[in-house]
Formats: sequence, C-alpha cells, structure tokens
Amino acid sequence: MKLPKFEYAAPESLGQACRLLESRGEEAHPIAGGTDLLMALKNRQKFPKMLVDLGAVPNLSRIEYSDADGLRIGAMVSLRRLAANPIVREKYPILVQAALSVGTVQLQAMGTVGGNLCQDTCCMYFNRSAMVRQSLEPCHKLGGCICHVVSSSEECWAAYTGDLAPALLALGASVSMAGPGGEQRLPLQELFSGDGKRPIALRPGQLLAEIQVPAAPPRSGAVYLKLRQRETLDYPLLGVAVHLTLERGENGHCKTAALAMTAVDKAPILLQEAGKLAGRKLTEAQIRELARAAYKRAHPMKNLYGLTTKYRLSMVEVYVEMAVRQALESAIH
Amino acid sequence: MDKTVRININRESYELELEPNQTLLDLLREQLGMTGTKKGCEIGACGACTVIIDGEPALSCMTLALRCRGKEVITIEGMAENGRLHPLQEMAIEHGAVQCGYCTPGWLLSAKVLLDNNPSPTLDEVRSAISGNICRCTGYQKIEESILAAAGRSLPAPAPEGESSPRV
Amino acid sequence: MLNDKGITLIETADTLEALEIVGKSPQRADARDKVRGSAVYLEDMKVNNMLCGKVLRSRYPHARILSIDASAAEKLPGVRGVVTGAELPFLHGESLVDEPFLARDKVRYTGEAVAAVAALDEATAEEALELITVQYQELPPLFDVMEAAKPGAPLVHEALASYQHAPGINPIHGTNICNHFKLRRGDIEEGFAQSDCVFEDTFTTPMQQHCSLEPHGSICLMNHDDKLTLWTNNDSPHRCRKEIASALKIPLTNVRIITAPNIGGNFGGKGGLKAEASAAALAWKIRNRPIKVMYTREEEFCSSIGRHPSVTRIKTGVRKDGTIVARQVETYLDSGAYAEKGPTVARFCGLSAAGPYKIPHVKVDVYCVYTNKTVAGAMRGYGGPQGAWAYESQMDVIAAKLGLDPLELRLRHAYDEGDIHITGQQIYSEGLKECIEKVAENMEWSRPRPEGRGRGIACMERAVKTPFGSAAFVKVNEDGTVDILSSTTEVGQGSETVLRQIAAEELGVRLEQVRKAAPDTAYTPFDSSTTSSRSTFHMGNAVKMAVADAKSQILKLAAPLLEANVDDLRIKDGNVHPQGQPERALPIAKVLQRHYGPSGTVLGRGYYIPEMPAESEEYYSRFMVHWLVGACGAEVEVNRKTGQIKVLKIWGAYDAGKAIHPVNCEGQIQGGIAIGLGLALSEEVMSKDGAVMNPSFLSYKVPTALDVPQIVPIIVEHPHPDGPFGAKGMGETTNVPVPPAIANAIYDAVGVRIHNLPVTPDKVLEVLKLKAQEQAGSRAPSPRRPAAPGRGK
Ligand SMILES: Cc1cc2nc3c(=O)[nH]c(=O)nc-3n(C[C@H](O)[C@H](O)[C@H](O)COP(=O)(O)OP(=O)(O)OC[C@H]3O[C@@H](n4cnc5c(N)ncnc54)[C@H](O)[C@@H]3O)c2cc1C
Ligand code: FES
Ligand code: FES
Repeated sequence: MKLPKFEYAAPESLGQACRLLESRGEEAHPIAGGTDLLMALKNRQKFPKMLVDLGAVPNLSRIEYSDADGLRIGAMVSLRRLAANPIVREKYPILVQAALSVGTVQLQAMGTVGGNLCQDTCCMYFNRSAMVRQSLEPCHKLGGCICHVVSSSEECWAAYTGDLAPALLALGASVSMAGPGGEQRLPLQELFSGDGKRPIALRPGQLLAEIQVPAAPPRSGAVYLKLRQRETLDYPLLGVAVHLTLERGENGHCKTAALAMTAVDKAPILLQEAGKLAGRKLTEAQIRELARAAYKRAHPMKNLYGLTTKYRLSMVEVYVEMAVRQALESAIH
Repeated sequence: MDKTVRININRESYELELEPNQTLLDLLREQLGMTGTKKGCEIGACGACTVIIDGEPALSCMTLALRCRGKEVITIEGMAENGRLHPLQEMAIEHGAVQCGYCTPGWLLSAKVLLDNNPSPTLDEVRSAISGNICRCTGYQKIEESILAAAGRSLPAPAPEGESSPRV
Repeated sequence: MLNDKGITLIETADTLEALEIVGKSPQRADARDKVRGSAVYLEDMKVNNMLCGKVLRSRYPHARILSIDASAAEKLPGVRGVVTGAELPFLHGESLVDEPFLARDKVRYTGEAVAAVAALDEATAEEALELITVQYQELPPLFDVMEAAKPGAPLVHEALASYQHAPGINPIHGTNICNHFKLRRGDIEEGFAQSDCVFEDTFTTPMQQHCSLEPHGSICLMNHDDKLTLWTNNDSPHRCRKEIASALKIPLTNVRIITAPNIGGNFGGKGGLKAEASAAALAWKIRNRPIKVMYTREEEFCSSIGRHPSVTRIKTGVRKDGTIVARQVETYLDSGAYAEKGPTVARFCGLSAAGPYKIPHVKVDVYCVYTNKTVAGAMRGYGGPQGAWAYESQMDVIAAKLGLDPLELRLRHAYDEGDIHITGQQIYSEGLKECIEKVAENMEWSRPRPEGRGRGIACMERAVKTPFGSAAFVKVNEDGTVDILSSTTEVGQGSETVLRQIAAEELGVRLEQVRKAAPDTAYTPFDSSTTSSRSTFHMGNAVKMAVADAKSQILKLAAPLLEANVDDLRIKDGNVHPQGQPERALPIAKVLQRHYGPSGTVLGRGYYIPEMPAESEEYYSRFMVHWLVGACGAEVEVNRKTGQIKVLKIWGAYDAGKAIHPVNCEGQIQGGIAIGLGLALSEEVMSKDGAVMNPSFLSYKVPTALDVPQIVPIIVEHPHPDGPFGAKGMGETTNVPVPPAIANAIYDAVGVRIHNLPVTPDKVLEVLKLKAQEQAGSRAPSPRRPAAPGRGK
C-alpha cells in the first residue's frame, strides 16, 4: 500500500498556502495531520496532484482564552494538545471528551482540530482499498452514478462521522476561514454542506484557520457521548453532544440549551428544537420530548460497520437522555 | 525547495533525499534498513509502526517522511541508550510481556511517551496509553504489568469481595 | 505405552520436585531481540536481486475465467513477468487436494488469486496489476452453507470426486460436502425415549480472523534445475515442503523451506500455502530470481483464511433429575471455496461436539461444506469454539429449565480419570473437573451478584492431533554448549524456550548453554506441524530423547576418565561427576576434548510418535494422545437500556500436565481468552455478496487494551505419564470456552440467551425488549424465567 505520486509543498505563511491552493484548484489538497487524507490516498479514493502541508504555517497552532472572547483554537492544534490544555480541561471538558474519543492515542497526537472538522464522510462501500472496491460499481463519491446504500438514490449518503463537530456545535463555535476573498467568519454549521460527495463547504484556496468558542458561562454543563463497539479505535456509530446553561438560583431552569449529533446524517446535526428549552424548567417530559425530536431528525444509514441501523436509531433517545442528565448534573455542580 | 532534508533519528543526524510520497515507515524500513519499526496494517489502525516524533507518539505509516524535516525521531532501535535497555524493555522481558513480538516495539514507544510525561501512572492510564497498539498474543495483561513495574508500581490489589470492579 | 496396563511412570513425584529449570519461568531467549527491534521477521528479510510480487484478485465470487490479457502489464518498465493459473497445472491441499496455485478455469471466491506480477518494486507491481484485464462469465454463487449442503445445489467443485484426499476424509461426491464426519455411540433413539425432557437449539458462529500482527509472506527462488528455496513465515516447514513438492511433482529434497527466525503471530493461520503459493507460482515461471510476496492487511482478511462459520443443531435428552441421556449434534461448517484444513476441523469439531461429558447415547454429524466465500481453515482451538458455543450454551439452558445449578450439572457429567470417552477411548490424566472447580472457587461461584450483574461458567475439551511424529537432533558442541535442531517454529508461543528448558534439564546444563535456531528443512529433521498444542508434548519428548541419547554417549566417554560406572555418573551445571562426589566434577567440554581432541561433537537423536492401540489403524486416529481440557468463568454487567455488556473479569483454568514455563502458560491463557472475548462480543468477518466488507482493524473489531478486562490465569497440573516431565500441550484451546462463559453470564444477569455469535448490544437489546413485551403480555414477572428450549435463532 504505497502512496501514489504527488508534489509536495510546505508554504511558510497562510497567504502563500492559500495562493498555492487557489492556483492549483481542485488538484491540490491541504494536509494537516494527514491521518484522514493519507488513508484516502492509500485507498485510492482521492487523487490530488499536490499536497500543501500546513505544518510550517506559523500561528495555526495556538490555543488562547480570554473571558471576553472565549476560546480560540488554531486549526493545526493537535487533538492531544487540545485535550491536555489546562484551560480547555477546566472550562470545556466536553472538548476533552470529544478529542480523546477520536481514533487512538497516536491518531490524537497526529490529527488536528481543523483536519478533524474537515474530514471526509464515511461509507463502508467507499472506505476500502481499490482492491476490495473492485467488486462493486464505482459510487457517486468515486465519480460513478450509484449509491450502494440507497440503490435508487441520486445522491451520496456517506455519513459525517467527526467527533469534534458535535461538541463544538453544541458549544456554539464559529470558524474563521482564510482565502481568496480575505478572512471570513462563519457559524461552524455552515462549514458542512450536507453533500456526501463534497461534505466540506470550502472553495479551492480557502483554508480553515481558527475555531472560536464563546466563553463558558457559569452554571453550564456540556457532555459528549459516543456510541461505539470498542473503547477506542472506533469512529462513532452515533455521537451526542449536549450543552446546557442554567439560570442562577432556581434549580433546573434552563437559560440556553444546545444539542448536536454526529454519524447519523451526511453532516453533523445541530438540533434547532433544543433552543425551545431556553427559559423553561427541565422536566422529565421535556427531556423525553427533546430526545424524541432528536430521534426524528436522525437518519442513520447502513453505511457504517458495526451495530444495526435500527439499534443505532433506537439509541438516539437513550443517549440524548443520558447526555442531558449528565450535562445537567455538571451544570449544577 | 532544497531536496536534502535533515532529520534527527535516534540522536543521530541524517541528511536524506526523500520523495514526497515516502512515508516515514518507508524511509525507516526500506531506505535506512531500520526494520524494528513494524508494519501491521499501513492505514493507521494497528500501532505496530509507532515511533516518537518530538516527544509525541506517531504512526510512521501515516506520516510523510518530508514532514519530519528538522524533527527528532525515536524508533525502537533508539530506545536503549548507551547499550543499556530502557526499564520498559527490561520489564517487558522480565514479566513475559513479549510473545510473537511484532507489536512490541510499538507499545514500548507508546509506553515511553507515557512515562516520559507521567512517571507514575495508574493502571487505567497505562491501559489508555497502549490502547492504540493492538496485540493479538498476550491479552495485554502482562504488557500492563510490565509497564507498571517499569514505573516502579505494582498492580493494584484486587477489589474487595462482591465489588470486583471493572478495570476501566 | 499408553494403555493403562502398560504405563510406566517416567517421572516420580520426587524427581519432578528436584527439577531445576523445568517449572521455573526463565527469561525467553527471543525477548531480548524483540524488545530491541532487532528480531528478524519474514517482513524484514531481503535476498539479493529480489523482486516484489503482487497478486491480482478476483472481483467475482463465482465466475468462469474466459481470458486473461497481461500483455500491457508485461510491457510496463520494471515488470519482470506475469504468471496466470493456466501456466501451473497443479493442485495443492493438506488433506484434500483441491486448490490451484492461481485460479484456473474459474474463480470460486471474491479475492481469489487470479494472476501474479513480479516487478522491481512494489509500486510498479501494483501498477502492473491494474493493466491486466480478465474476462469473466459470472456463475451462480453460493453464500449460504445450509443451501450449499443440499443435494442438487450448484457445485463449487465439479471435480470433487477426482481429488486426492487423505484416508479418513469422507467427501460426498456430487455435492458440496468435502467431508462428512460421523460419530455414533449407544442408540440415539433409545436415548431420547428414555428422556423426560428434550432440548433442541440452533447455535451459529461467524467467521473470525486470526489477525496475526505480521501478515503472511514468502520469498521463493526456483532454479533451472527445479530446486526451490522458500523463506517463509509458515508455521510448519515440513508440512509445507511436502505440500509444495507433491503439488509440483518434484522430490522432497528439491524443496528447501527456511523459516524466518521469528514469526509475528500464527493462531493456526499460517499453516497452508497462502503467500507461499503465489510466490512459488511466480518463481516457477521466473526462474533464478527470488520473489517476495507479502500480504497486505486486506489480503489477510479477504484472501487468507478465517475460522469456519458454523450452524449447529443440538438436541439433548435429559431425565428429570438432570441426567443427560442422549445428545444429537449436527454441525455445518462453512469451508468457503476450498477445503484447506476444513476436513480436519470437521473431525476435531465432531470428536468433541457432545462436550466433555459422560453421555450414553450420542450421534454426531459434522459437514464441511464448500461455498463461494473466503476460505476457512485452522484457527486456534479449531472446531472447538463452534462446538463449545453450542454444547456449553445448552448446558445452561438445561440447567435453567430444570432449576439446576449449571456448575453442578457440569461437574456431574464431566469426564474423570478412567471414564470411557464417546470415542471409546479410556480417559487418563484428565484435569477437567479440577479446572472447573478451580474456576468456580476463584470466581466465588455462589456469591450473590447485584442486579444487572451475572456470572457464567463453561468448560471444554478438544483432541490433540494424533498420531503424528516429531524428530529432533541435538549437538553437544566441543565447548559443552548444545544446539537443538528441531522444526518446531517460534510463533510467539515460546516453544523455543520450552524446548531449551527441557534439553537443559535433561542434560544437566545451564539454560544459557542451549540454543535452538529456526527450522530449515535442509538441516532440521521432520516434524509434522507446530499446531494443535502438540509441540511441548511431541517435540518436547523428541528433544528429551535426543538429549538422553547424547547424554548416554557423554557419560560413556566420561566413565573411564572419572574411573566410575556410567550408571553412577550425574551431570549438573555442565559438569560430569560421580554421584555424591561433586568435587570430582569434569566439565562436558573437557570430556569431549579428552576424547575427540579439538573437534568433538556428540550427536543425539530422538523421534517421538505416540504408540497407538492395536485396533486403531486410521490415518486420523480416534485415539488421542491426550485431550486438551479447561474451563472459563466470566462476570459481566449488562445495561438494560442499551444492551451493552461490560465484562468485569475472566478466570481461566487449563490443564498443562506440568507447566514447563508457568509464565508462558499464563500468557497462553490470557492471550487465548482475549481472542475468545473477541469472538464472544465483537469479532465477525462481514461479507456482502461474498465480498468481505470489513477487511481492516478499524472495521473488524479486535479487542484493544481497553476492551480486555482482568484475566486470572489458573494452571492445573495433571501430569501425563508420557509427557516430557509430565507436560501436556495447553496453549491452543484457551479461547474455546470463553464465548459460552460470557453468554451464560449475560443470561444470569438479565435472562437473555443469544444463540448467534458475536453477542452484540443490538441483539441483547432486541431480546430484552421482546422479553419485556412477553412479560407485560403474560404477566409472569419472573426475571429469570429461562428462554424456552428450542427457540433456535
Ligand atoms: C484508524 C483511524 C481511526 C479514526 N477514528 C476517528 C474517530 O474516531 N473520530 C474522528 O473524528 N476521526 C477519526 N479518524 C479520522 C482522523 O484521524 C481524524 O478526524 C483527524 O482529526 C483528522 O485530522 P488530520 O489533521 O489528520 O486531518 P488531515 O488528514 O490532514 O485532513 C483531513 C481533511 O481535511 C482537510 N484539511 C485539513 N486541515 C484543513 C484546514 N486547516 N483547512 C481546510 N481543510 C483542511 C484536508 O485536506 C483533508 O481533506 C480516524 C482515522 C484513522 C486512520
Ligand atoms: S502499520 Fe501503521 S498503524 Fe498499522
Ligand atoms: S506479542 Fe504478538 S501481537 Fe503482541
């Protein structure tokens, strides 16, 4: 399993990197930790002519925090460094949970926050080497015109399975992009196109530079729960992130509530219904209602390895309820 | 770009000419003949190819060799210093933590990163630290024992009756 | 020698106590190289002028090959040759000769080797594969083992009747059944008639993959004079030599197998011809060039072998008091496209299909069936896990229904010393009951567990390949050191250390003075195989005999020098001395030098093959030199909301006869149990239309360090009268009882019985929900109500 041939560049500024990427258009890909991209290259799923290494670009590996601006994470911060950062550990334990749930220890040390967000979607018909894939027609993602999961479908149903996205979405994160049109700041949600074939809404030449997370308000709690078969080395079969902030004093009154999910659609889901909880007291009935809404919104497909789709769907409610209870618990304490 | 790349491997400096599509694993095994770094899957899932780059554990099969420009790489060949085995290596032998040995270099380096950062880890920390290294032979028990022993700790006493708590 | 009349105990209890090296756990000789990264594996080996070989694999599960056009590949710069099946009119196979080196005429599974390319480097070879075009005509495929076993099913092998096979193998011509194994005892109908309750269940197991960390690999060189050298990580060099020589129709001496100094895991997977076949096919065509073929991880999953998936129908007749009277077992093993070790797996599965229990009426039928799927073969404990999953799960079904204690039910029926096995053999040196009792004691069987927790127990038995021989030479060198020449391979199990211990103990030298190099069929004598937990017993005996032979020669030389009788001489720490007079010690080196001058070497030879009772003439005997036995206990916690299972702790007790190296034995127990845990909870090769869907460690769920709970190893020692120092094999089958032990614990915890491995949370939750509905409906709120017998899958 050798890597195919490609050119390599390691620009020393963000501007240089963007210009290079823009000039080469679709044929150049940025590489951060490489853990997602190099697997795709080895499996002959992607065929870039050039890799633009972001490793030498300065200032992309910073983690900064202020009470006014909140947390700023450079796109090239590794998951392991994110999880080890004292401020993140203190104020955003959900990010530690999510980062340490990715792949394995080594992959956490190599993989970056930016790369994790921008990772490709997964499908068990697609994420295999050319040798194994040859027994099937090429699917949408490989330029063909069939989906092996939903055979009648005109579109690709590959699932977004990143672990960080739901945690960051629940925290209300936004992202800064650098590129041809200058710097641009967007809600994180807009990074995801919802198109299984091209899941990340970046134009050629555009790079994810930084992730911003609002300051952690007092009396808030956030939890990420991941359904998997093993304790490590597994992509999520379902991931649920819940972030709650409580009003002062009155026990149980919700100030803000956010819920996000991964692995159950072509993009991570930020569940709008969770917003309705704001200003209300969190009762059992409301937790169940939220879980029901999440259940209705989730679309797990038979495209990930492991447990049945039916089971994954039935776990949505169970995991949402567990996550809400745990978030509530940590908000109170 | 200058074609020669300087990489420090096992405390020695190498000037190398590298191809973009060479992984660090290819460089070590094929170009430098350092075959102690093992190849078990080539897609980042088994940990047999683990090395240490600038103090962090890394999978050499998923690392572009060119990425290592100016960095310090430690492989299993560099784990013993001045001819003396690292305590982790000594304890691995002592505790029967080695069977076929194919996973051994990988988990030894993962464990080294652990002890370098946390000289007296708990059993749970040991288990997490090597959880990215698949071993099919040992069931991990003696590996874990040996790492604790190298850290000067012994296995925690069994849980009290009726409470045999999970080791998680 | 083995009949109880003829037994002479070689070791008395006294001599066993006096052992100095055997029974201790000295450092393994290979560990030092392995922790330094200097241990050499096949993957690390290079030979001058070597080419890289890669294999083109079939994209169809069953198709006729109409044409292969390799002209473009051959023209690619750097390519040195392409070979296709049509160029090699040979078949190979261990007990049934049915497999081509590269597919000929038709392909029988997705992933089968169709053509091979040799090139200067890997990238060129991979590129060349893409330039080969194959025209296929698809044929109807068979994916379901039960369908494939039916008369009239399309045939995977039309020529089954013409294949050569070993005696004792019973292929059914005109069907897909490549072996039908039968065992009968008593009168099964009579047995059921005598029963008060009859239990009928169906249990299934999936394909499990070995997941040896080092993939299969071989380097093959064939000269113009048909001399073939193969460097390989095959587990059994002599078996490999025989298979290649007889396939290529060349004399044994033309084939030299050199085993890599270290093998990165085996578990039975490295036994047949895999990379060996592809490398040999290339070398057959491209002469005088060594060619290396190394499997990728995906090829390991798709194109090597796995454990036979199985369907077992088990029907058991029991009296009200819990006495088991009759048991009928019908097992279908899915062999995939070729027989591989399947016929033997069927046999071993059948011999123990009724469990290690005294049952008067037994009827067993095991069918090994071809399908168009990945080939199944030998894997750790082969035949055992499929059988034990059925009989040990059903033991608890019976116990629950009759309100008996599962532990007591097992102990009541377990074989004991002197019992007659269902095969008719009288049992001796049987540690089964002690294994069960030790597990129960350690896990505190009767301690009440909190809600949601449960404990389960299971035991097992399996045959040891009999009667097959092992030979060894030892050289006692001029300096008193010893070389063992033996074809046992070191696959991680520690046999090198164990054989050195046996030699050192027997001769009376220090362990460090004994070496054992890797096998090379040009020098190391015959050994049937490094499989079936046979090495410590068989090769251990051969080495011990060879050392005894050398020792008697040394003592003869020393007697005049020490002016003593041979019988009065002893050797300790490498010095010969008259008994009781250690001060008169003479080093072995001196003895040899005085006699031979500077060039002395003493050669000892040993050959061990178990003596068979006169009536057994079969190639595969029904008489076993010993049975592997053991028991396993598990404690689990089940989450009723998610169906998720947490295994809290596992205990395993196995009979080693005499543990030559206790730490190694513990390692075998713990490692085997982790493999059993994987089969129990998560491992399953999934295929769709015959193509493997999860050929990687990411998607095939091998347990990681975080998934394996604490495992308590317990070594039981019932010495074998003929074992070296009383030792028996024990490593192979430690995984066997784990899945039923865990499933029984799950049942104990939440009253759910799963019949199909692996026991995943989705299956558990589904049954939990069904049960809740049933209970709500019938208002019978007994949480431990047993599942109705005969529910099947
Ligand atoms: C065995 C294995 C297990 C894994 N398990 C998990 C898991 O459990 N959960 C999970 O979330 N992921 C998992 N991954 C995927 C991957 O390792 C992680 O998502 C990782 O965080 C990706 O980061 P990276 O820096 O290595 O990304 P890269 O591979 O470098 O990049 C990923 C993609 O993002 C693009 N990209 C990277 N950085 C930027 C940027 N700054 N701007 C624009 N585009 C960019 C790249 O072009 C590429 O397309 C696994 C991978 C492997 C090999
Ligand atoms: S070889 Fe690199 S992780 Fe398996
Ligand atoms: S010792 Fe063989 S894989 Fe770990």
